[in-house]
Amino acid sequence: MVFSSAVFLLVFLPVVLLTYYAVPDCVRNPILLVFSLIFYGWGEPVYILIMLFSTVFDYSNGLMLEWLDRKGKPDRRKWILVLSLAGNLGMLGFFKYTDFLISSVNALTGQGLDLLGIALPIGISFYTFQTLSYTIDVYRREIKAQHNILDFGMYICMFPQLIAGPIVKYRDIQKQIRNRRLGSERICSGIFRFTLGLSKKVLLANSLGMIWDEISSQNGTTSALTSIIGAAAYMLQIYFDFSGYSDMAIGIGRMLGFDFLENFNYPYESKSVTEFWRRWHISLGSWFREYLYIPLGGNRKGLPRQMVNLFIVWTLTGLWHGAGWNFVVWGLYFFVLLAAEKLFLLKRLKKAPAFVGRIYTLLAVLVSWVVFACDDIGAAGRYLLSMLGANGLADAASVYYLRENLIILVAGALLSVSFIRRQLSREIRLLPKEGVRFGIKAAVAGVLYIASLLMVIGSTYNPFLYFRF
Amino acid sequence: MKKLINRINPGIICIALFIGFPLILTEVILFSADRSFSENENRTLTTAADVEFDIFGGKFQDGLENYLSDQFPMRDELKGAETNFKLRFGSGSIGGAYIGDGHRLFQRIPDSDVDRDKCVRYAERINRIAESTGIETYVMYVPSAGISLKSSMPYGAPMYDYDSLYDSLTRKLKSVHMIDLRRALANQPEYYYSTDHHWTAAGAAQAYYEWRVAHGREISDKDSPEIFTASRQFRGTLWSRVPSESIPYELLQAPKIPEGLQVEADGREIELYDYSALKTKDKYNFFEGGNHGILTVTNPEVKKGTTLLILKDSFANSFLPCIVNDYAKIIMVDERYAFIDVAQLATDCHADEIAVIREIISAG
Repeated sequence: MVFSSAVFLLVFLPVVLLTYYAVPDCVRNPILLVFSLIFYGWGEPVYILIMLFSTVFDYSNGLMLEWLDRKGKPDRRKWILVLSLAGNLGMLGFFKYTDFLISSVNALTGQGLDLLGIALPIGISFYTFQTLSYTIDVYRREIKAQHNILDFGMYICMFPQLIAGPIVKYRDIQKQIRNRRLGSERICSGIFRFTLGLSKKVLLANSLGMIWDEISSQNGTTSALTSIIGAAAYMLQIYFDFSGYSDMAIGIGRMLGFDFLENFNYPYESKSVTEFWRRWHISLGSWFREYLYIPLGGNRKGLPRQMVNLFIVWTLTGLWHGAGWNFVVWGLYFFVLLAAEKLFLLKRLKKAPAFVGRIYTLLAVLVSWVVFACDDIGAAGRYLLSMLGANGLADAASVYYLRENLIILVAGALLSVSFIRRQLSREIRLLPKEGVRFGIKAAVAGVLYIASLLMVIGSTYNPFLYFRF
Repeated sequence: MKKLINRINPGIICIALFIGFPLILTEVILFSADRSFSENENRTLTTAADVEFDIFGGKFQDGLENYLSDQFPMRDELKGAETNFKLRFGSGSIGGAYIGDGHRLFQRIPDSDVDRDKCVRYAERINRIAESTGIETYVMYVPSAGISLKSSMPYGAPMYDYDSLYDSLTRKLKSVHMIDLRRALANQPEYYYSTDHHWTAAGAAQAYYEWRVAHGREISDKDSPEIFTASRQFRGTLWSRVPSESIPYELLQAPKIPEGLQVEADGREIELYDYSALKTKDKYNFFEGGNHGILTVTNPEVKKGTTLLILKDSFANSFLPCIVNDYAKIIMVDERYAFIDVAQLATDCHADEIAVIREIISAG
């Protein structure tokens, strides 16, 4: 099930909230677990089994790690960690990368091995990383193992962030699993946040996505201006789509009493690619940093080793986003940029006026999204060449696309940076009465909710971008 | 009372609305009578009875989603309001249709939507049929409205390159007579409907003129088909994508036809003009009741006439009445619905002529 669907908005979410608020505290976790399994199984019921296996597997691993500690056999704990890594990554690898591997072997050797056609369980990359963070943290003795399997299951399967993040680490919400605060103020702030995310996804991202789909379907035969309009539309689409999903997850989390960490922080106003990755999909970046980059040695073992570590992290970051060579190239592209920034570029950018860094970052990210969005490297190459003017700088079609989409592109660009949000927040804060402030927020949320609902009902275009994650 | 109002927590009202409003909407959907067809959108709607309880196959999930969307209260009115808003905003494209001058609607067909290889393969096949049967073959490709009326479309709106496609197909069609309609139909808004992708009776009549020229037949005023108005309330399939009441109805006209025509569609006797279709949304089905696999028209008035085999798409439906007086028998085949060996059929029915009448991009 996806958030931007009629079933979710009209039935699932209201029923979950009504039930959740009606039952006593002690049964809220099991209730949430059951609803989360329904949410997950809605698209592909059979994959509930994989999720349940994951839950039981890592629940057992956590208990085993603790038991070995109690028994005074700490040296055997690493084998449990290896088992957990092998189990989780093996499952992720099997479902996500088997066909990629076979097709790569076929391409390299000219063989015609049959693809297995394995359907990718939705959100597997997100929940695999969540479960791994749990086992690793128990192994590091940073958290205690969870003894209640229903509570643990609820954490793994929790529907708000299940299919599109953010990646919620167990240690960040372990206290909330048993002890959550609910109050009308918090719930309302969750509702406002959810509505904001929904409107980002449905009103902005979907409209922008149609521009990209239309222009990119012309296979790189468009003029430079048209191609740039298409790429800019995708750049804004993926931001509003992804951050919209995170807003919705955070909002629902608040409605249920959880506090999820922020996942996006206006990444398009970054002054370097390094800063961009601190503001974009923050939970993924911090996961890789904590569980891969730092354990590999980070920047503590000299520059050459740091470069190797960065190379590993960004190759895997690319692959995490999808099983395809374009994702590998996309990851390595960022490795090159980040390495260059660490070696010399960042120092120069800091000395230059802020707009230089911002333009450089926007252009670098714009190019990266083309590689990310195109199905293969050839298509990405053709598209990038068209952006450079391989088919002319502009034509009549450019005028058409510009005239048709100027408003949404400008609106998207303005809303993707913090300026308007800061101004509006300041104006609202200056209002004297709390009731008026609340009323304005509620009215805006109401209008956005109705508009989004009507779009969900009336539109046939509602892509889910994370099916490859 | 004032105290009571002051004690009401606005947050609670907000939460109650957020949970209650969608649930009430769902109740309304569940307990209202289902609509099975949307005239505006020209499509069948999912009703409760259509939702199969197949959870593991995913049919229940898809069905419920479609049901809630399709049966949403005031769906047509909301869609209309959204369309009106976009039209007022000056949108050049809505729902896959371009909005041209005076809200004339055009089908959006960029180059990337055209399967040129398929069109070429089709042309090669037609050429082979012409060569193998030795029957005189005519190909009359119909330019899309967006090609003929380019100046009425939004400036720069991407549209496929008709000329280059036509040229590449002509190179494959060496053994046929080409009837080129480009100049005849260019810049004549009355030759195409404003709310549908088909040509009007006037457009078909102009094509008939070119047809006669290509056949070396005499041209005189008496050969122009006499046109009558079948409906004053026609809105075509493009209007279903842009369902705004601000776009007016237009006339559905047709050539007058002689009495006594014998028309058979897929083994069933029908009338050439289906007046019952005028009571439905899809009024273009007035012509022969829509598309059929094989349709045969026999004109007993034409005693020593010839037999024509037409391979067609729906453009030919409104062209057919123009030529019924010229042939003793016309066999019209729509290969989307009839999978037959065309060369064999042409031989079996002793066809004197073969004609391909279709939009160039549907030739595949």
